[in-house]
Amino acid sequence: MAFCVLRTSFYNSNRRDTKILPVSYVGNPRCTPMPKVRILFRIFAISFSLQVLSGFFICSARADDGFIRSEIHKLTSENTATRKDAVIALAKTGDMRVEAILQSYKLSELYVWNEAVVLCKEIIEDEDFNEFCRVADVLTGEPILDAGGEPHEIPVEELEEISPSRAERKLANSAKFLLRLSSPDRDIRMSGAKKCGDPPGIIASVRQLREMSENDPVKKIRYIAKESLLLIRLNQTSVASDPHAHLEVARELGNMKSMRGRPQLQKLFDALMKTPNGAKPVYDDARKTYKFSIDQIDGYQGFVGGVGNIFRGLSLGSVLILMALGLAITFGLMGVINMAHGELMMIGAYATFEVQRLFGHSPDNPSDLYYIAALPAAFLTAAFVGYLIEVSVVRYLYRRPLESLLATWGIGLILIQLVRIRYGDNIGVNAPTWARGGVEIVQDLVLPYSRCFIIVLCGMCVLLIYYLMNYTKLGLRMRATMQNRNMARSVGVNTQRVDRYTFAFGAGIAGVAGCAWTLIGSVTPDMGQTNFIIDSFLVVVTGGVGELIGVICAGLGIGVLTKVVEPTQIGSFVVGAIWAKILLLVVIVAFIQFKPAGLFAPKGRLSDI
Amino acid sequence: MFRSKPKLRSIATISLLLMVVGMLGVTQANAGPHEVKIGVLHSLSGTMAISETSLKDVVLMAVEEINANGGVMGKQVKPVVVDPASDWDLFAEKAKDLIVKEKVAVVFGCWTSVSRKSVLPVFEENNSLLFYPVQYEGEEQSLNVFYTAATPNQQLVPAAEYMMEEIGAKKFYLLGTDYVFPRTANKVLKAYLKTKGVPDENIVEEYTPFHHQDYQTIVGKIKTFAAGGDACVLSTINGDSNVPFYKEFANQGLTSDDCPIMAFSVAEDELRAMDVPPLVGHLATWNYFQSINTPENKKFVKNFKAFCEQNNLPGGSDRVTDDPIEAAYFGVYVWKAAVEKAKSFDVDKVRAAVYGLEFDAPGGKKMMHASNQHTLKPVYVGEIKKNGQFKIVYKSDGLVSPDSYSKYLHPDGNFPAPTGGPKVAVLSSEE
Repeated sequence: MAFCVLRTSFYNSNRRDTKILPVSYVGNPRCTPMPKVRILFRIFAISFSLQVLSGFFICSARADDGFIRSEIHKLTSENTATRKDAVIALAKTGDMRVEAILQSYKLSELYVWNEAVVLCKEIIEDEDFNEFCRVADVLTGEPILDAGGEPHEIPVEELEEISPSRAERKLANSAKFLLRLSSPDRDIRMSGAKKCGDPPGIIASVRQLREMSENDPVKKIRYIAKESLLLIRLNQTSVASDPHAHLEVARELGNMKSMRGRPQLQKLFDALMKTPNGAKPVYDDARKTYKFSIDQIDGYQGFVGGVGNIFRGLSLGSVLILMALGLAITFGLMGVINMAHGELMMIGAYATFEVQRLFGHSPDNPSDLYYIAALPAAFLTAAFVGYLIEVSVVRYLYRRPLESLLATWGIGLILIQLVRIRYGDNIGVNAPTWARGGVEIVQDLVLPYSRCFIIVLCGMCVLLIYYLMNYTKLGLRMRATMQNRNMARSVGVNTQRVDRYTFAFGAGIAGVAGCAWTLIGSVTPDMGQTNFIIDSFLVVVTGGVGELIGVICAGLGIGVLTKVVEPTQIGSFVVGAIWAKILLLVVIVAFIQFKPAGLFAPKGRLSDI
Repeated sequence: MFRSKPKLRSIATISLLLMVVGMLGVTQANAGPHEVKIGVLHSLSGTMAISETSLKDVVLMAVEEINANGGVMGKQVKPVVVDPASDWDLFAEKAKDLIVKEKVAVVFGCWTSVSRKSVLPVFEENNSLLFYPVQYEGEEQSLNVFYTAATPNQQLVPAAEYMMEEIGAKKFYLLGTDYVFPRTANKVLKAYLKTKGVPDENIVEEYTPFHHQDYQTIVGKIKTFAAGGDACVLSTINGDSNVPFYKEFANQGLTSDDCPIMAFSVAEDELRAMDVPPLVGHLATWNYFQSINTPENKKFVKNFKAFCEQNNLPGGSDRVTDDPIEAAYFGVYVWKAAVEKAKSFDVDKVRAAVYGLEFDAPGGKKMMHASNQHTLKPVYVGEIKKNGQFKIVYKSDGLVSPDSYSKYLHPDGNFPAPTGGPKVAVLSSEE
């Protein structure tokens, strides 16, 4: 035992939260591994030292560099308590540069050189295997220059490492969240507010959390701060010592329908269930309160889960519809079993990638307009490829479904390998910034923007096709050709050209689907075969070949059915993704047995074969 | 309706194409007296091409380097590259071709466990050598294979330990693709977590089919699971499913602070194909990262990028190195060192020379195990950065010794005997 510090303190800003506790602090900071008991002691001591200093927590004060530097210097102290105090003091500055410093401290990237703390991220070696370090300023991260204006390279032997113990690393981590409470950035502040309340809770954050729960401009953060506050209080109090306050907190968490509170309440409830009934009247009270709150939360979460499942079903359904729309035209209307349909979607996705590259869009340097340009680009590229396929192969194979199946499958393979040779297998399409994240429409129900966008896009595509088919001359000619080719020809329709345009249009819609897919899925050369082709045919065949309304009904039906079945729990068995897929296929096979023509009977060329 | 002319033309075109393809297929040169042939057995088409192509590239790079420096024992190395096209039966067939027809001295290849299992009998029957460069589920030890990547105790167990000790996770969501590696990996992880006192209700195990793309429901479940703030995901999701999983995870508002994801199948090469911002802050455990800060590694990365650029490989200088790429690369050098130590290309002599071999890999000094066919390696935990690279946040003390059979699955310590090896020789010498 190296040394032992005894400290006591009052934390008087909120009497209900804390009590006066003597804490013995034991352990040599540099000796690892430590026995478990010691670690426990340390963790206890840390949470306490946080508590000690929280009394003078000043919100959003921006400390000057001199103060930060002097606190950083204290990290080199031999005294563990001094080091810990320094970490807390750094966190309290609310200066966002400190987060990087704490991170470097955690990763042992800080060194002492010439009695100053420096940052060293890179070790270089000369021909004689001597190791040198390019040191940088700990606060600014700028390289320290020598007399000649070159980056200073210091032999590694001259540097003394600052290596925090595991407990100190954890403290630095907690301090990071404390620091985040002062961030001007909404998301960072929110993550800080959340983590400060997660068990065991950072008691030092209580005052600031309270302030945030009342005054923060963002409603969600006010909610989270209040939730965290209650969680800390729930951990601090107990039924035995202060039943009134404790149960009040439990009730409040229930009223807030707090999802984060639920596991805590459940734990407390389970613990109480082990005590015999009627042992203490207050225990029975507590049991009831916990149970009531848990039920309250579960009821709300059940409702949110149900709505969420419906949304997920709609989202999956719209993706399926989008995939199948193009096929509904090439297969449904024209009767070509187009196995290259998936590859046309893949081409749409790669066209999106090309447009992204053209616009120079990257996560660091976003230019969100690229996506607007990518939609028509994907349509045109895929339509062009579709046009070529029709001209070169498909037009010889009308009314010969088996041959068209084989030929288009071969074309698909050729397209896959061409793309693989050109792009390799690994390319990433970066979603535009507006498609990241989601909107929380009610508490705990987040609808991702990308999925909302795809639902809208799907609706627009359906309307476009409906309009084109029913209200334009081209649509009229298409329908005429598909229904009775010879009659259409005899009244002067150039059926060959109509075929070409129809096929190209179907391919173009597939391209749009591929472009939309980049927002939510992965882009690989064989994505068409692995992800799309089977699902697309499934939707078209189930819906009834040749009917737009059939595709919509089948797509939504399959989507919602899958997403409602997947999370279902029967006893201890959860259906899950694999069984949901199998069940779905069984249902469709059974359905096709009874209604071989699908939901809506086919019209168009297939019906008169 | 059908005219014959275009049909004839297309038939002519197709047959011409076929001829070209056929000619490409027969460009296998015979080994001269100053040459030694090695086999490269990685899928260059089909679903696994996404991962395996890079390994073929790096093996060819190692061969080029070795040849430029005088070859192996004065002989130039002649690589024979075949494409098993992600088809497990074809793997066995191509392996047999390489060993019997081409008479290669050694084969570098395979990625998935199923491909390795399918070539195993071929290598054991012919007593030939395979260097296998990908982390796998263990529970195997063939005298005809050298495993240059991690066993479960060099990747899975340290990762779970890191999550518990450093992150403080108490609840574990084991999520994987439905095949042998995730299933066995999760068996090991579960057994390990139980020895650490994690109760059953704090472990959830879930699988998705290959190429699964809709993670809405699963992410919803994780959100509820992680509400207490002390949960993590241990992910053995494979290949293209990772992209929709991480995207959905971020889009539903979860961050690495709420619930960190520790991945076992996401390395730098996979990150190239991903939209990285949703992954930032999540973790992965490997035995090598491109960001390892040593001169040897920097040189290796530079050489690999230059090699890809010079040979006009897709990606060019944007290519990255990762754990399997390093393991495939140093595998060639281990073989070279063993051949030179044994002064022979004979499989049995080379095998004996590999045991206990110490060598310099791009990621630092490593060592082959003295008997169990695997490699002693360091363990790193990396945090994903915005640029698709990893920031190393944990490094093991020294090298971790490999267990071919997990002690968590065989608590009694009864491991099966190694398979394969020199059958005839061993039998006669023992009797």
